[in-house]
Amino acid sequence: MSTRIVYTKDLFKLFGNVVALDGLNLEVPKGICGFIGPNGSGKTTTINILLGLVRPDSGEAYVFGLDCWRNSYEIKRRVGVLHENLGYPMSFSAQRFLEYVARIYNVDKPRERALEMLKLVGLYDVRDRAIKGFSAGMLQRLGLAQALIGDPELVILDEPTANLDPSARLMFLEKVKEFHRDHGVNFLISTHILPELEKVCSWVSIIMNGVIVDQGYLSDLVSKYSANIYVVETSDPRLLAKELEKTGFIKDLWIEGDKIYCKISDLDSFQRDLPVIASKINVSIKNLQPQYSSLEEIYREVVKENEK
Amino acid sequence: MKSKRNILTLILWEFEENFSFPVFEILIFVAVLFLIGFASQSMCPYRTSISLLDIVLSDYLEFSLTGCAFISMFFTGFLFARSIARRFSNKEMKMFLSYPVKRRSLLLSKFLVNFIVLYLLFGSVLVFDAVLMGFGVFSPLVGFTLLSLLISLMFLCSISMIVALLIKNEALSFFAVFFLIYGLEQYVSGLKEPYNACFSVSRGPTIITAYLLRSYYSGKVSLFSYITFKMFLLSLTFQISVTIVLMLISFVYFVYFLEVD
Amino acid sequence: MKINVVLRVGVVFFLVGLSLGIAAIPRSDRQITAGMTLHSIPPYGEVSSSFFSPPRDVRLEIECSHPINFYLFNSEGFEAYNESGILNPIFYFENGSRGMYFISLPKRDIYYMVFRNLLNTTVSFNITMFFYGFEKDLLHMSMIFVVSGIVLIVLGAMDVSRFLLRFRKELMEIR
Repeated sequence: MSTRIVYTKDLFKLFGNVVALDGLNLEVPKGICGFIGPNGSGKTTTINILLGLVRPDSGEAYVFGLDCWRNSYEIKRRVGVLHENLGYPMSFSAQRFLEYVARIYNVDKPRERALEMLKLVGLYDVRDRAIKGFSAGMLQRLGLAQALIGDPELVILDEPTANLDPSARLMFLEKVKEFHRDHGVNFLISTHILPELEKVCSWVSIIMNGVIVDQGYLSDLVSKYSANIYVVETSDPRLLAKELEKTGFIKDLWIEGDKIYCKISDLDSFQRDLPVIASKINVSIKNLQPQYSSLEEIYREVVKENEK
Repeated sequence: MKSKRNILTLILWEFEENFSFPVFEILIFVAVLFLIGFASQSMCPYRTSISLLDIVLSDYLEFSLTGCAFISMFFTGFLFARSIARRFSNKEMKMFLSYPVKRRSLLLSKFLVNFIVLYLLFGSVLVFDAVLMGFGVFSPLVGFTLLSLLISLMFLCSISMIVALLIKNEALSFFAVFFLIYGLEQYVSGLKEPYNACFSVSRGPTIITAYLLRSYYSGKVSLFSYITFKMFLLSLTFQISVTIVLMLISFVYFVYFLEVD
Repeated sequence: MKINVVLRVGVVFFLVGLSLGIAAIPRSDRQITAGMTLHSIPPYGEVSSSFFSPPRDVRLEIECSHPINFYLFNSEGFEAYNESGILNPIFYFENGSRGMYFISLPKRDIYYMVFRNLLNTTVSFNITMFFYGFEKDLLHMSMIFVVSGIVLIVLGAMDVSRFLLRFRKELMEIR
């Protein structure tokens, strides 16, 4: 993939006896990309390797085609990052902190840039307040500001919405969309809060037990995992469900109201035999259509498959 | 040019954060109070058959310089624990290492800030102390004292830095530095002459200064006649070589091996 | 209250002054006793000795076998005495053999004691000095720092720079 900005090959990392990464093959193209997985799956370790904070035991990791450990300085000039639970200099004011960060990124007018970022993230009014007085939401916005202040090409966000209430989460992700749209900044968002991520990201990589279990454009993943689920609207869902369970082409099914959700293994058999079964038990089928999975459902599906 | 600007930014950041109000002010207060009030003696004016210069110099070296070495052990341990160890535990180090800064510049800035502030602080107080004892600001005593302070402070700073880097916990790091140096002093005091003085953290600087003073005042000062060139060389070599080794280890570890998860 | 540079400098000055003032206490607490054991002056001769002292109070106790002249010079006075015999001591007694004298040394200096024997016989003497009291120059320095520190703290707290800026704006508007 020529447009990929992050690429890892067979990445392996051991912490004592714990295998954090077990042959990770991650690809991240341009755009807003999600990096999702359960707790302890290796997301933060992967991010730390990409930033040159941790050295992999074996394998390769590249950002912008540069080796993550050997060329970490060059990579970091083009990357901004918001770590989970980041430590800030608590005695500094927000403005002072951002000015220093701007200077580190060799921004031409650090003071002006800091004020501009504060306005963008909605912290201009509290620019002189010490960081120790900030709420969780304010800290996250400050974190976003420091990640973006150096005009990066890629911003890595590790659990950016973990401490935020739903409205703050939405606002945060709106900002992310805005930056991508207006400034062309690429994002890699590591999170386990999926419903909001779905609204912004175009690519998803799913990690489990230190391995990428699936990744691709969201639309492709939706098609892939939605093909199996059909919604059957019927007059007697319980009776029909009982009969369908006896067949060999139903992997799983559940009832919601007058609808049966069927996860099928053999689409042809399902389409052929469903009307026959329904007419045998005198049940009418009002509607039949495929179910397009949400990201959360895709994730659940993938996790379940890999747990087997 | 850009990397020099970066180091300057890091130095200013480190100074502003590590010496935020009221840390710097308290350090000054404690240093002045301890070194002027308790460590330095209002001298015993004279003793028979010993020259005035001998008396003054020996009082200064015995009390002020030794007191300075003692208190600087606490100060270096405290500042490096705060500057390095604490940054690991509160994840600020992770933030720094995620910025486009060279690791060696980051560590160098932390070392320089703490060292320069401590050197200026103790140097000023020792110079003031020497003035209180009747010596001029540009006298040889002041010059030699500042030189041995430079060496001994670098020695203590290098110990504190490596301990803070390895332990990565503020309180543990502070106590580790204290017990390490105290332990070293206890061990060294059991050695035979002259090694028990030359390898001592508190007496080493005194030996260096005393020898230089004796050489300068050749013949006029008799109290330091027991300090030989061998002792001077031992003290100097011990402190400088340990400093170089520890600094090298710290930088190599921080630049090439440190992982922050 | 925002901590600005002026305020911080003021606090530093104040604390330096305070620590100097407090430091003067343990320094004054030491009653240093200096004894000069039996010394002798040849007939019609002179003996001198020196000591360094901060500006403190000193109690001299002198015991001699025969009457002598005693002079206490500061460094300037001793230099003049040495070069041209000018007698300008800060304290003296003549023809005395025993006594207790209270002297307030004016400044931080090397002081010289000159013992002069006017007789045709060897004189032996014993002198003891008790130093006590605060070092006056240290206290003065402490006060200067404390006062200037307080002034700077007040100025810093008032945020004078903002006040001056506003004053300058108003002045320009009037013009």
